[in-house]
Formats: sequence, C-alpha cells, structure tokens
Amino acid sequence: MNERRIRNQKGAAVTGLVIALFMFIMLAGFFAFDSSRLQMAQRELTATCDAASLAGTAMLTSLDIANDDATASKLGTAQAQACAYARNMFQNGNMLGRSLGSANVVSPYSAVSTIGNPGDCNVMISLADPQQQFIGVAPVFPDRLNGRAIMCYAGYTYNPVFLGVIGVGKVLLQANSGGGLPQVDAVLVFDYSGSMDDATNVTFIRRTWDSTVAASGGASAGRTDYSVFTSANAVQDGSSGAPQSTTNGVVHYIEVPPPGVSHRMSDYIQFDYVAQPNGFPLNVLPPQSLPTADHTNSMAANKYVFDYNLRANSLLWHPTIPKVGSPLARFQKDYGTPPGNCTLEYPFGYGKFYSESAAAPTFGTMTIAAGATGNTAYNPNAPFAGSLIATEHPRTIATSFRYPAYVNTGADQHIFTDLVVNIANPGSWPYAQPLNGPTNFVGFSNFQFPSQEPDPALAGQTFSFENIGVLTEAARGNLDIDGTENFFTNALLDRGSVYSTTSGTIASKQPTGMTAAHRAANYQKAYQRLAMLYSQPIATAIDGAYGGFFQKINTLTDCRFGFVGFSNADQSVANPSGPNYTSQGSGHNLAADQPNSFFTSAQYNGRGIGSMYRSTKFTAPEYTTAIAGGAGSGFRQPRRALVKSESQNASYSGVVGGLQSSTVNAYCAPWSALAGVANANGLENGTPMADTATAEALKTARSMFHNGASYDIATLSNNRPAAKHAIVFFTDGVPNASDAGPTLTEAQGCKGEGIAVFTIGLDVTNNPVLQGSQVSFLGNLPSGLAGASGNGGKFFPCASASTVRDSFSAVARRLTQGQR
Amino acid sequence: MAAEYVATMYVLFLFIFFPVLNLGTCGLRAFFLWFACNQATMLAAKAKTFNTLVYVPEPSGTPYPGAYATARARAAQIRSMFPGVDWTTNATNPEVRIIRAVIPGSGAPAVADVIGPNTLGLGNIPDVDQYVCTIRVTINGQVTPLIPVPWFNIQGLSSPMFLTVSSEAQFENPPGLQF
Repeated sequence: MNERRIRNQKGAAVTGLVIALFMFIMLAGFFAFDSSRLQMAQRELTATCDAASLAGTAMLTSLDIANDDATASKLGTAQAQACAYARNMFQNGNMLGRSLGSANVVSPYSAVSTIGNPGDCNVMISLADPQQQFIGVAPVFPDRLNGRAIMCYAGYTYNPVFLGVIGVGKVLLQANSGGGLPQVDAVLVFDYSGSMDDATNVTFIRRTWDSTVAASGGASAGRTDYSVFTSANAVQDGSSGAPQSTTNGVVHYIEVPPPGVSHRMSDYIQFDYVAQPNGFPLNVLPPQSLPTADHTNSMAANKYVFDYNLRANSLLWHPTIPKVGSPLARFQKDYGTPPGNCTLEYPFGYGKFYSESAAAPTFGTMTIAAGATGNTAYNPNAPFAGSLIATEHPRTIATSFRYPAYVNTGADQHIFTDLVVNIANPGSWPYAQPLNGPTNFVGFSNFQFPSQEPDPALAGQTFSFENIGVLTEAARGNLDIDGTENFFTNALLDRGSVYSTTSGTIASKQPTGMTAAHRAANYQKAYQRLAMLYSQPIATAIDGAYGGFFQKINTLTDCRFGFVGFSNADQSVANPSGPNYTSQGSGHNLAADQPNSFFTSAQYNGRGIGSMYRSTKFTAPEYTTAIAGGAGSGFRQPRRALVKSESQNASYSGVVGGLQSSTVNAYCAPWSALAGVANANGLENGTPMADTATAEALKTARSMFHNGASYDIATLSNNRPAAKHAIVFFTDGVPNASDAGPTLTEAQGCKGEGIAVFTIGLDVTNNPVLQGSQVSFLGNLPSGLAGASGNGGKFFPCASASTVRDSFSAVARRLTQGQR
Repeated sequence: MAAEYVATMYVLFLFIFFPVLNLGTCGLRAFFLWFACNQATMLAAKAKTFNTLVYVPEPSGTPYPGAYATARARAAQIRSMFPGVDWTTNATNPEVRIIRAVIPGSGAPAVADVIGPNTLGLGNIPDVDQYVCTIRVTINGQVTPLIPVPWFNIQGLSSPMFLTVSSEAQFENPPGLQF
C-alpha cells in the first residue's frame, strides 16, 4: 500500500515542475504582455500630445492677429481658439483602441497627475513661453504676449490586464509636448511696380481756366493778362481777342468721365491686360507718370491724354532755378499756373513774367522781372514790368497745342491734367482693408484721423474733401499752409473756383466753396495718406503682408527680417544690377514709353529726388536734366538689410513701419510722414512706380544672407544656425524676358544655401495670360522660382487682393510650424 | 519524494528559473537599452543643429545643444534610470550619424554618411528635395543578467550580453546639420 502510494507519487515532482514552469512562463508572459501594452500606451499618449500641441500651435499661426488692440485681445482670442483646437485634437485621439473623447480637461497641472479609474485620462492645454524654458503663461494681458507655444500635458490611468492579479495596481502614464519656438530669418521681396495701383477707383480731372466766370474774393486789382483767352474753349493770343476783364476768370475743375461706369483706373483707360499682363505705369500717387495714360495698350477709342502743356511748372525744374531761399523757389510747388493752367514753357507759355538772358529755348538765366519779386512771377495780378520776348509770344497758335477746351466730343474730351483717387472716410483705426473708394467721388467733410494714426502730423487732425475741386487742390498741395508761401493765392484760388462733375456741361458748374479758410497744414499729406489707403491692390497687399506675415511671424517666432522693395532697377548706385541694401532712388522713366512723372515737387517732403523727371520721350531740358541740388536721384524703394545682431523688435519695427502706431520711431512711419527720411524702409515707405525688375531685387534679397557682419549664412558667428532661412517673393506681374533668366539664376543659387523661396503671385485682373506666366515664372517646377530654390519653397497664387493675406499666412504657417 | 522534490527544485531553480530570470532580465534590459537609443534619436531629430549650442532666442533663451550632444545626453539619462544597462562612452559611442538618403527619382548622387561629432560643414546644406536627412543613433552596449554567475561565461545567462541597438528618425531642421 505504502509502496503503491510511493509509486503513485513518483512523477509528482515533474508535474509540479511542469506546473511551476507553466506558472512561471505564464507570469513572464503576463509581465511581457502588460509591459508591452504599457509601453504602447505610453507611446500613444506621447504621440497624441505631440499631435495636439502641434495642431494647436499650427492653428495659432493660422488665426488673424493683425492690427491687434492695446490689450492684445485678438491674440487672446487666437490663443483660446488654438487651445480649443489642441484639446479637440487630443480628444480625437485613441488610447489602446479606445477613444479619448471623454478625456477630462483639467487644471492646474497637478490635476493631470491624478490617478482615476482605469482608462481615465486627464489633459491640460496651456500656453507656454518658449523663451523662458516653456514655463506656463496665464492667458491674460500682458502675460499672454509671451504665450507663443501651446503645451499639452496628459495623464492616463492604466490598469494592467494580468499583473493586477499579483497586486500590481493602476499605473499613471504621463506625457507632455509643446509646439516649439521656431527661428525664422526671412526677407520679403515686395512689388511696387506701376500695376500695383491699377485697380484704384480714380477720377480724371481737367483743371483749367474759366474766363467766363466772374472772380470773387481776393480777385481785386490787378492787370489784365492780355495774352489770353477770348473764349472758354481755347487759349488765344491776346492780340486776336478782347482783353480779359480783371474781374473774370477762375479755376474750373472738370471731371473727365470714364468710358463706362467703372472708375477703376484700368477701366478708365481700358487697358489691354492680355497684350500686356504686367499692367501700366500710370500711378495714382507720385510718381504719377501721367503721360502714360495714352499707353500703347490702352484700348480706349479716344485715349486719355495728359497734356503737359496744361500742367504748370514743367520748365521750372530747370537746374539753374534755386530750390530754396529765393522767390523763385515757389515755382517748384505745383501751382496751377493761370491763366489756363498753362505752362510757361516756350512756345506755349506766357513769358511776360520773366526775361531770359539768352534766347529761347536755351533756357539761360531766368530772373523775375523787375517789380515782380514781391509777388508770384506768373501771377496775372502782379504788375508786369518786363519786356516781351517775341518768340515767346507767338501770334499764331501752334497746331500741336492742345487747348484747355470744354469741347464735349472727340479726343479733347479726354484731355486731363490731374488724376485723383476717389478717397473716402476709411473708418476707425485700424483701417480695415480692402478699402475701395466710391465709383464716383462723394465729397465728405470733417474727417478726423484717428488718434492712433502713425503719422503724427495727421493724428487727430480734421480735413474736408467736399468736391473734386478741393480734392484736386489738396492733391496738388495748394491748400497747404507752409511757412510764408501762400500756395492758395498763388494758384489764384482766392478768385473762387468752380467744378463740373459731368464733362462738357459747363452749365452745371458749381462753386467749390474753397476759401482761404480751407487751408490747413498737411492738407496734401492728408490726401496722400487717404489715397494710399485706397490704392488697390497695393494697400490690401501691404495689409496682407503686415497682418498675414510680419505680425504673425513676429508674434510666434524668434525672428529677424529683411525687406526689399522693388520696381525699377536702382540706377543711382555703382552697381545697378545689385545687390543694393539701400536705395537712394530708382532711376525710372528712362524708357521711351515711360515719360516723366508729373506732379511732385523736387523737394517732395523735403527730399530732393533728383532725376526722377528724366525721360527720353520728351527732349526738352526739363525732362532730361537732373534737378540740381537734389539729394537723391529718383524715388526710393524701401530696403532694409537682414541684421543678426539687432533686436527682434527693431527688426520688426523697421520693416512694418507705421503700420502699427506703437512701432513708430524715427526710422519707420507711413511714407506720408517720413518718405524723405533715408532710413524709412517700411512696407508703407514704397509707392508704385513702373517696372518689375525682379532680378536685382532677388539678388539683393539673397545677398542679405551673405552680407558680412550683418548676416552671413556661411559663418557661424554671423548666422543664426537654427533659423529657417526664407525669401518671400510677392509680385502682381512677371518680369520681362531679360529679367526672368537672371531671376531664376538667383533662385537656383538659393537651393544650395538652404534658402527657401516662397512666391506669391497676385492677379486682380482675372487674366489667364498673366496666371499662366506666373505659374511658369513663380511656380513649383524647376523652371519656377519656388521650385528652383528647393528647400520647401512653394508658390501661392492669389486670385484677388483679399486673398493675399491668406497666402502670406500660409507662408507664415509653413515657417512657424515646429516642435520642441 | 522529498528527495525527488529537492532534485526537482534544484533543476527548477538552477536550470530553469534562474536562467530564465537572467535571460528575462537581459531581455528587459535590452529593451531599456533600445529605449535609450530610441529616445535619444527622437530628441536628437528635433534638435536645431547637429553639434552647435544655440539659444532660442539668443542669447539666453532655451538652450539647444545640437543633435549630437542631445542624443548622448538623453541616452545617458535613460541609462542612469535603469541598472544593468551600460556602455563605454567615447566619441562614437553612442554614435550619432547623419544619413542622407537619396529620394528615388531625384537623380541625386549617393553621399557618404557623416558621423558625429563631425558635422556636414558650413555650406553643405542638404537639398531636401533630393535627400531625406535622418539621424541614426547606434549604441554598442551591454546588459547584465540579474544574477551574475562567475563559473561559466554565457552572454545573457551568466555574464553581460553585448548588444548593438540603433534607431533612426528624420531630422527636422536639415540646414542645421551643417553646424
């Protein structure tokens, strides 16, 4: 029995061994299973945090934070939305096959570490300051200004499947992730070509002398200008008609209507964008290049013709005329020269007011005739004591001479002297683009610039623009009060003035109501500021670049900026093909079809602009001779080099200029305020000119990354090695054939230097020809700038001005996305 | 039966339990070794440079010491968390390698890997349209069994097991590889 029992117990140890082994292996398996599952859960939690924080940060870069108020409420809203987006992204995640949709959103951070029921998940989304080791930031002003990153903290209660049997309880898994603070060093290349204001609503004005209207006001004693007019329709020689009455004659503003309903400048002259996709160089603000209204590609039946003979003072740009300190200096102002708004230029002028030492038309020394020094030389009210020069008084009217006619038919109807923007009240600060002026100008009174207006000369000031007469004179500067000069009287506006808003209906003329009381300091500047805001598409493009790119990058990254404005190649420096980090002036209007720019003083805002009047179209000296004493040689394009060592705020303020009132300093302001300051190189310091000289511009931008001590990607000390290097290239056109090749070469050079070229092509004309050209020139293929540059560069087409900001935002998003 | 159990237990513990325990420990520690390598890679891939300390923002913001230092520091940190995981540290262990893999169809030539602490060098910016730039961290390490057995030498069973683990991830800021 005992033996049997012993025998029966044989092998029991083996059984025990097998059982022990089984248990051991089973426990090992359980451990391995739970360990693996734990690891998987940890990874899933980390990945979900990563996704949430990245999505939140990306969303933060996508939201509009432009033109924020003093308490950064837009930023606060964007941060709240970004956090909500990150939270949603987290709750859309999965853990071990289960949705995290029921994850508890908790606060403060310690709550994340709370162990709950198995499968419970706590998440906290917060703002963090990447500059301070990602410490948390309260979502209140001013703390929120440092909240550039979205952090995601999560805690998950994991319950082991098997190890619980042996006493291993719930395990807390934790993970966190945050969007990083990218470094971005970017140069914006911005197009100021002539087409950037083609979509502006404007009015063409013929400003002329109307001898049929009785003068009033200050038109008192004076002599009769017997050169003169015998009818309302023509300039006549004084000998062939009756002398005018001293009490007759006022300035008359006549609207020259567009062919259709639209007052858009391109519709005015019916420009053929198919034939010339790059638009035309006629501009709404200086340099206006008014003679280009009769552009080759204008399809108007009767082209709109700017008659320089009807515009004052062209002769007076002659270099021998002193610019300051002389009564002659007043010639430089753009007075309308009455009578007839005619030039003094031989042979169309009226040389009674001066004599020349040399025979005309050599334009020798010009002096005011005796007795006239106390008055404006060409003021018909002034006593005349000079001698007539026969050749300046042709007794027959030159056949080429265009009259300041009121004729309602034929080509004369399209003669104009002024082009003004249909401005309006832009609303409160910050101005909301796009601002499109009314189709027909509607007068408005007592517009007060907001106190936040960056131009201190305009902030809080009130101006009225009641009719096209006021508008025209404000644009000319004749309503300004400037020292002792009396533009208003010199322009004979004290005699009264009338306007007609329908061409040819003289009977409809109405008094402008302009009196000396209308004058105010900075009237011209006020007009120009409003005209700039209503210039399209450039105003919207500037706003888009500012709000969609500069503000966003500045808020969300550690950044430095460079800026290259371009239009015409800079001819004023030793190296016209670039690079040019500063621009003293672009030598524009050299081409035969781009004659000079009327209507800007040589001392425009105190800055000599030199040879801006050069032209080969007209051969008279005033067109081909550089202005003596001019400090510059043309209109400047704003340019600001990329500098590693300067602060982010200085870099940002320098390129955005006066777009943000809080950033205004001596070096940045709206161009209306500081266009004459050499260091004014902000977005608003440029104005549309003519060409699209892309090669020199892109070369300059690229060179800013090889600019010695300022910035040099080839050295460690002058570089920011962690930064993304990018050029953002914005244009509304394409370059000419000779410029395209060198531009592409520059983009190809960027490829090996780690510089991405992002291109934005704007087409406000819905022109398939332009769109095709832009895709080819700017596009993603190796033959396009974006494709050639590689490094993640991309082309963004824009079908309308209102989408420019979206495109700039898309570029900003690509540059700012990152992870710690 | 008692004798039988003694023998069984002897067999169980000496030949099964302890060896399996040692092997299991080695397996777990091998995982930790790989985990250190993997975490080092993940963090290194997010670095802004390869072997240059930068601050974001300069000059006193968050320090980013570069992928090479980041990977090695992270690996060492995890090593310190788990006993029995070790490696001999020198300039190339852990090895941090820059790999530029040619994107098929790009037509780019194959290029040699660069092993830290060397960088790609100034001016050698990889074209991300032609190459995928990755960081590979390789650790030649060892994991020790829970109970060392001095009498015989079987790696992983009675003496430390030598392992080479590696992990690879795409580098997020390719131009930074030149620094």
